[in-house]
Amino acid sequence: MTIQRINTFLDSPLGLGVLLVFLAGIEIPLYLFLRRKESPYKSQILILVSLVYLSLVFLLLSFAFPVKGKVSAGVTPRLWILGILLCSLYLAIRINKGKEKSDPSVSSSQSRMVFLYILLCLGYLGAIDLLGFFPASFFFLLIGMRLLSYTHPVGLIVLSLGWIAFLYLVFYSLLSVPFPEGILIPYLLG
Amino acid sequence: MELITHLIEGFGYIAGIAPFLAIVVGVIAGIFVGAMPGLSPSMGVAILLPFTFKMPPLIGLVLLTAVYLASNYGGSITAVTINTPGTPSAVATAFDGYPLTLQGKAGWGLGISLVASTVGGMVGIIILIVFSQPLAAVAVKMHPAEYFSLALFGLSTVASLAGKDWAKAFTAALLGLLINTIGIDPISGVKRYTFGETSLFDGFDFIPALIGLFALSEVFSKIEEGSWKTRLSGEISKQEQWPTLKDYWNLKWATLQASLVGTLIGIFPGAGSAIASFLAYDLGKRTSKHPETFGKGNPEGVAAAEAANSASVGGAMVPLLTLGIPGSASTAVLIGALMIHDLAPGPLLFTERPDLIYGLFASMFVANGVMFLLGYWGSRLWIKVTKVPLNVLIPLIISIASVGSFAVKNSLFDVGACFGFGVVGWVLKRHGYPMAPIVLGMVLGKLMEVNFRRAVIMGGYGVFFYRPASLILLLISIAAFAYPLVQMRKESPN
Repeated sequence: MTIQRINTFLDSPLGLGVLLVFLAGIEIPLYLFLRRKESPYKSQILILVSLVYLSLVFLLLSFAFPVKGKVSAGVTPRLWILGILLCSLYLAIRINKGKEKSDPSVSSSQSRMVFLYILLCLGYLGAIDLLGFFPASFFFLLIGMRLLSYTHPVGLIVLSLGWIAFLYLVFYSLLSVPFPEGILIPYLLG
Repeated sequence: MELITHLIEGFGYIAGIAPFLAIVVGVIAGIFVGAMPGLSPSMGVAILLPFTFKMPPLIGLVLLTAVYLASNYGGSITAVTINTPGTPSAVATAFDGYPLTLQGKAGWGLGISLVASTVGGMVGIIILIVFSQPLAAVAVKMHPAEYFSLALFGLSTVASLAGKDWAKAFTAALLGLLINTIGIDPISGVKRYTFGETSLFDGFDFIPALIGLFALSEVFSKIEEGSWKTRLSGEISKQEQWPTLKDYWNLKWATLQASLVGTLIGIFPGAGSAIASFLAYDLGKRTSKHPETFGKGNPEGVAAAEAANSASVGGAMVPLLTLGIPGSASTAVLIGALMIHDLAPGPLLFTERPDLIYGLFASMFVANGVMFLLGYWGSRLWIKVTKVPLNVLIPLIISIASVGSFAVKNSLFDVGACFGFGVVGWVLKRHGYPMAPIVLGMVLGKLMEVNFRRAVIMGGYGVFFYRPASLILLLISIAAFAYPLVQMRKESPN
């Protein structure tokens, strides 16, 4: 009964938040510890821990699935989870013995650019909701090309506008894809 | 002999401007739909379906079948040029097609994929015409236990895709299978791992996941490499290289073998062209003289994946025309088209409307030829994509990835999922976890789970071993899993 209640809580948006905070609570101290020890497998260990954590959470949740019929809905996820746990154990042993390839070395400036781009993608997603698809895509293309050192000002504008025109003609006009209009422009224009 | 007479008559039925125009329009639409991530072959067929309402049944069917046929080829164009498979069945084409582009040989990748698609398509149609009725009878007698074993056999390709990192490849495949369990359980209707999010009730859609794992993870890798001022094809200025006739001829066995596999897998309802291309790729690698170069730009890999992918179209038409059972989403829409014209697919159709059946068969041959010509001309245009500097191409790829993800269900959640899969794919890939097994797990997940549980419900857990066909497939799967691992162990005992 208690497991059922825990599972009901975890299988909710709030539960997902708690699970993610808990994962961060494990990963951040572990990362700091591995960095202090100068482990060549920092990232790989963090990935393995995430996989094991995800598997255990999914395993726990699978016990809450109502049993309907001869084979419950939890049987197959448990099979796959068992496989992930076994593979993770094998990989952990190999890492412990130093048989795995060490983490790739990347300069911090290169990693920073990837993170910047991931942030830009998230911003793009938010901007689609706010400004609508076409204006958001226009700004995304301008900033995206500029970030990657494309400096030609006319090229920036022509390429962005040309691409937007292509998307508009093919997807919006021809295929009738109902792209989001955003909330800001309809609000401002009444 | 009677068959050949019917087929000649079939060509007579489609002789004329209207059928030819229908084929050309269908092929152009199909190539476009296939090449655009997010637009699936079934979507392309469905979009054009209303246009066929007023057409004569044969012309309508010819148009829709041409879309279906060409869209399977179209997916390979973006897979080869920008590592963004337009359709799930083009994933295996990207394994060697994209490395060819990175080596400055995009012409090779595009040329081989076109010729292999055409040959595969032709082989599929020939098998469809000659063996459709006996093959369909076998396919419908398949028990769920045998379907599960077949799917497991499909999953065994992970072992050969894996290389030395087999544990990571298996983890990736299992992760794909686990992701596939998210959403409402197809058998009991129970919600699984949805965390109260309604967008997850249908689970993660396959297309955004595919685009994220392949296209976006590659984009992030390119940014990390710091090579965004270059071009995908490198800084080459010389004339683009295309394979010669001799090069195509050298790939004849790989292409034919894959065509047969593709047609056979296509016949099984639900198996689909993606599984066909993965299995054919795996078989191509196992039988190749240079398996070590697969995944690094081996033309045999492109030929195998593409031939099987296109041949599966002919295979999928077998249960559709002979039994009225759709083998894929696209053939399900085609059944709708038949019904709109008051035609009941099944054995009677062959005797009552031979004009329709043999006209359709003949049109598929012509559509393959038209696809070859248009593809040949179009490849010269597509190849220019690889000459665009990466600092322009990267934002455009992300933009088309978001359009493709959104267009699937008109949902921003899918765009977010695509970005999420892109980040996860980038992190996993840079630490040696291959992407293909995740996709394979997602492709096979539903087929495996549903048939596993149906089989157990019908005959208990022992059913997989009692039924001879299932047992044989299981044994082959175990051998297929073990063989590459044993080989690897022999080569490097550590």
